[in-house]
Amino acid sequence: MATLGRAVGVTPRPSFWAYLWSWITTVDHKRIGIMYGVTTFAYLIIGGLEALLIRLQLSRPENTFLDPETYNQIFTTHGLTMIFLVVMGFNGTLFNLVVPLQIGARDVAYPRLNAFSYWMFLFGSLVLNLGWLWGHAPDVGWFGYAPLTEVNINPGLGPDFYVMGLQALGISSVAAGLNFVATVINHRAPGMSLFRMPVFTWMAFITSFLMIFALPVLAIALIEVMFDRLFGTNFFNPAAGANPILWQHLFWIFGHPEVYILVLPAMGVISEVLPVFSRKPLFGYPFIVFSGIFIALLSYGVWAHHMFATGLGPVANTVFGITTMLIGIPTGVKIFNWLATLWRGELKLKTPMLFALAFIAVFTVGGISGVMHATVPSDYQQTDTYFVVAHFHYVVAGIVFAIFAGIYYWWPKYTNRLLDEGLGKLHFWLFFLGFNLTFGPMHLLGLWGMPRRQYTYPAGLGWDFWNAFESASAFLMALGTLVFVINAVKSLRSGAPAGNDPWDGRTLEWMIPSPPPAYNFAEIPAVSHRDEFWARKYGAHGERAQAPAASRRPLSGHNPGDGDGYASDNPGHGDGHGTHIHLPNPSYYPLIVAFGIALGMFGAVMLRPVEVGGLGPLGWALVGLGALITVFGSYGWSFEPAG
Amino acid sequence: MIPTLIVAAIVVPSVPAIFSFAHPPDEAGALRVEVVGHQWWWEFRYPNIAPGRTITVANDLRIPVGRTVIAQLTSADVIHSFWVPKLSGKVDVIPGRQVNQIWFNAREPGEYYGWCAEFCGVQHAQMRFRVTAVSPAEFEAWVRARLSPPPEPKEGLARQGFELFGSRGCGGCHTIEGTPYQGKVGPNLTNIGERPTVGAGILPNDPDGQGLFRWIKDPQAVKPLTKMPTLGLSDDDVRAIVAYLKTLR
Repeated sequence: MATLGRAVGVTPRPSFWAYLWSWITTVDHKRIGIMYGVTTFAYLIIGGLEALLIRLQLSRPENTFLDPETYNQIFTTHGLTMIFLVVMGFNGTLFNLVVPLQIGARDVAYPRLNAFSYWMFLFGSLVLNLGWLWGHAPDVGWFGYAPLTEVNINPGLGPDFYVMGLQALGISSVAAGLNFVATVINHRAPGMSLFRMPVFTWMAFITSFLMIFALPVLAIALIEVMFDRLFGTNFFNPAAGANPILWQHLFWIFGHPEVYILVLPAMGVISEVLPVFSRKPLFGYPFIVFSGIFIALLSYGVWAHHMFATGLGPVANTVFGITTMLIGIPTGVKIFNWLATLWRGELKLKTPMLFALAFIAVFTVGGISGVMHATVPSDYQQTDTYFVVAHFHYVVAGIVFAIFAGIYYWWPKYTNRLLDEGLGKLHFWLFFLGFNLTFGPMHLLGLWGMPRRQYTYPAGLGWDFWNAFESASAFLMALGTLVFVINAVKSLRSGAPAGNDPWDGRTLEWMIPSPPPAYNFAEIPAVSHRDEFWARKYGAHGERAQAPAASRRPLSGHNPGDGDGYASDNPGHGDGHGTHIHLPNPSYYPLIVAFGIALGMFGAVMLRPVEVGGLGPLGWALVGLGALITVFGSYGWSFEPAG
Repeated sequence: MIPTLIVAAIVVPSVPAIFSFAHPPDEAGALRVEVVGHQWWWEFRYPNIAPGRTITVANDLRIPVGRTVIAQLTSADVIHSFWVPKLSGKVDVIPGRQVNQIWFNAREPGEYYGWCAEFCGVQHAQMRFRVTAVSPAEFEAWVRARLSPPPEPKEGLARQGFELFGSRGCGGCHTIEGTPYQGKVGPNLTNIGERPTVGAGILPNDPDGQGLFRWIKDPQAVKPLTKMPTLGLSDDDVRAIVAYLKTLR
């Protein structure tokens, strides 16, 4: 059992190895969040470089910069990386960094499971990308449509790495989903009813349910492909009578909720940033929360809108067209509520706010083109063209604006340093311009008939100029990201100290020191308002007029206006300052279990014959070793004192 | 409230359009064709175009202007998608039991570009085709011409090419009607001489035979990993085969 004394380290300065070991064995949500963040950012760079290679190849017609096999691998891994490793990785990052602080918790419900989620994420991402070493990275698109993944049609290792890599990442996501559901349900500070929860936490909560219920569908589909490839089953083999459309149903029953797994947390970030930089409470909080829930429920009933051209028939297409349109309603509600939050607000256009506003703009554009896709007769033309590429980059790549908003917003909490505003604005404008100049013209190319997923296109169809233009613009985004890296390094080295509450925040995380101590809250706060910290600073109805800056109270002070019985109402809470805060022990078992599972999955890839780069039956040795390590790790985990 | 109204305004008119797309007009008088997707080329068949006769061509679909065309779509391997942007939307071409249908109607004569619109493997980008719309009279003449195979060349370079076509193994994969060459792996070449393109819509089938020459000489350079092998033929052999293929019209 670790005590506070141990956690804050009163012993002499530890060696580098001890420091590294403390990260490897950490179960602290903050450190796990930082590891997620670093991993994810590395993949953002990798996925971005892949995007630049794609744009170089498409910069002119009949280009031979990349051969078709390489191009197909790059566009596949670009999609997989950006969806599963970058945007979902940032979910893991922000859930960890923010949710426990926003609900006044000391950690997540299952700290070791949380560490396991991270290690599974890291090792899964490696399995997914290991194919590059064999020259067989996944080459079937992120959607992996059967029967293109069947072994007789695609004998290389690419689809095997695809199947096992996604399976591993799915385990990570389900574990994280369960953990955050349990955390939000059980670990909220006293007084924080569900409808006092900050909206980011709400969206993380909803997203966790989506992950729990969506990823198992993908898992089943992947197991079927794996059995087809390794053991000769015929789930998706049309020659044996299978209907390969089954894969598309399974994939999109996962795949559409996945879109909301990606976007709901982004909406949560925006819902935090807008009120703080408008100095107004979020307009229509319950509407925003309920539309998030509504979107999540609807997301399981719209999957076939990815399949309008597969010949489902007019009745199915009509039904799915309508359910898809319905999603426009809660989404529209959110957008109107965000705009109403800005209305007559005292806007401060700091970098996080700029990114948040840009997210609303690009997401609205992507939403409108989404409604165009939901219009079935129109979709027959648009689907599988660059119009779709434009649409989902405005939505999914648009999430990157929310991610950067979140990074700029919460960075000071974790580093106690401000990011430079000048560099931040330069980053924003480069990225915003680059984004729109790259993806905007794709709408035109798509409507002019340019199909997607093509490594080359003929000259003379009027596509040449805009493709070259997009390729050049993509480098603006890369440049913007580079400015961010410079800004981050500069901030860590010599950034201005941020203090606990640099933005005049509204939620609990701004109440505690920056960076947060290991135990987060010396005393678990009792919550009596939606924007608790704001209420403590400015009074229960703290609007601008009632709260001139001069009346701000010291951060540690309890507001007598609303703090009646703040501590005495909640006997038994707040273990007292200092000595009795219980923190979980560090553990290396999560790492061992995750490694064992990933090794077994890599072994399953290696079951493929020697001629294609596998090990044949020798692969069973790896599978067995992975299983042994998993069992050993789980055993140790089970009997480890939890602390 | 406002989002609800906007959505309703879009949904209501779209429903009749969905159903109208599902039912081709003039079903009785329509021209019926069969489309088979292959990695990475298109087979087009006109079943029963004359009593008991089927015409099979590849990568160039000849249709009469003004008449509805109903195409039945199947695939020999993976999922493809049949798309002629100027004539219609797209419908997927699926292997196995599901046979999809698309209909379209060319109002103007001319050559229309067609694409495979669903990712189907390495050469998805080079799985193109043309739809050539001609007047009904021209179409009838074309059908009559196609019903009798072109004559076998008796002498000269074309005759040499005819023989090389057999001795170099081309006939093992390709069918040329009226000859012993009855391979079923690659496209039917019976009318290759009149098609606008070579290699599934990627090289022009120009009068001097440059496109055909490049393709036969080294298909793997033109379209890497196409199922057609580079046979290492001498330039003279390739020229002879081109001369023969040019007579097939």
